[in-house]
Amino acid sequence: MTDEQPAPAVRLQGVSKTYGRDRTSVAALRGASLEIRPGELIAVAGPSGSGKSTLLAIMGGLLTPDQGTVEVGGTDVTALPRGARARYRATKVGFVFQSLNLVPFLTARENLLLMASLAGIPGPQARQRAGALLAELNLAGRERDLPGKLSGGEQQRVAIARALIHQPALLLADEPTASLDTERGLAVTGLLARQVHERNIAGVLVTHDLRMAATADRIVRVIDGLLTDNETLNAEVH
Amino acid sequence: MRSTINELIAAVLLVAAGVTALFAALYTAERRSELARLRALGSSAARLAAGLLAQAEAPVIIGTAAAYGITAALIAAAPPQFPVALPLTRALGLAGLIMAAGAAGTGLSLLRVLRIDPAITVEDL
Repeated sequence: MTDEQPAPAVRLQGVSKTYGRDRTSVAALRGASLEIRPGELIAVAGPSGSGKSTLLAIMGGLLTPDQGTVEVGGTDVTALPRGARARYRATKVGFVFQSLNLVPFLTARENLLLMASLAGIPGPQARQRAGALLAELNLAGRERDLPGKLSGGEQQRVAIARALIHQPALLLADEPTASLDTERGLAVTGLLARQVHERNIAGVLVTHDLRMAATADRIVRVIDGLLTDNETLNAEVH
Repeated sequence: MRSTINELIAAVLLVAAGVTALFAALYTAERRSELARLRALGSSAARLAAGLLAQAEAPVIIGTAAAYGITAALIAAAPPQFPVALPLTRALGLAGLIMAAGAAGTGLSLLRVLRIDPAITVEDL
């Protein structure tokens, strides 16, 4: 019997991104290569300005690299035209932003339904999924509350539910615990890890906090735009 | 007499275009981050632009319908010898012109919506 690894869900090869030109240019990423398998949550750790958010934005189709390719589910995201990239984000990617970015005048349930609508999920199916997800993430009874009436942790769970409603192939979380204390932060990263494992999707958690990063299956460090799969660090924190 | 009415109509169209342009500009400026968030989540620029246009035109349609209703009611209440008429085709034609003026007013804001960069939703870039 062979112990075959599944094919990577995400594959980055030689990805580079530079902001600005000439003397003012800053290399945010320099030849980054990375593979993420289905059901694997990786943490991208590094100091502020190291390039980790750029990496996330490129994987999410929000930025295009200057060089290199990003394949998600066999599709080269970097080759997609603008409209197709929007479609890719709506159907293949689940985003959890640092500042949550819930629509403030929509209820928790409506925030999920909005995402479902962008992904083209039919109404009855979207409503069924929204109800099930909110219940799964312990938000039953809060469906009709506006984000402003929810606690930070509850808002974060709504953001996670919104990122999952369209069953993405890739879950991207950008410093999702930045506004939470350690206990609540670990609960959120634990929830992210569980969802990635249970749904067998690829997950990326961008964080500068190694305690949060330790929840992931693997830690990748970004320093000055260079990516290192730090085995020593992985061994230390796991 | 005819030219005065035409001048009044032209003035109304100009005001409609100006008011809608102002509304669209304010809407786009105030909701830039929200629109960027929707772009990041996968909404197409065309869909956002259509939403902006619909929101700008909705008050025009409601206002025109209300104005037609009020005018029709006033005409009905006026004595029969009062020399006024409001043909529906004429009213619809004017409504169409006002909507076109409104759409023209949103032009610049539509361009701004189409150019919104979804990457601004990711902090620390």
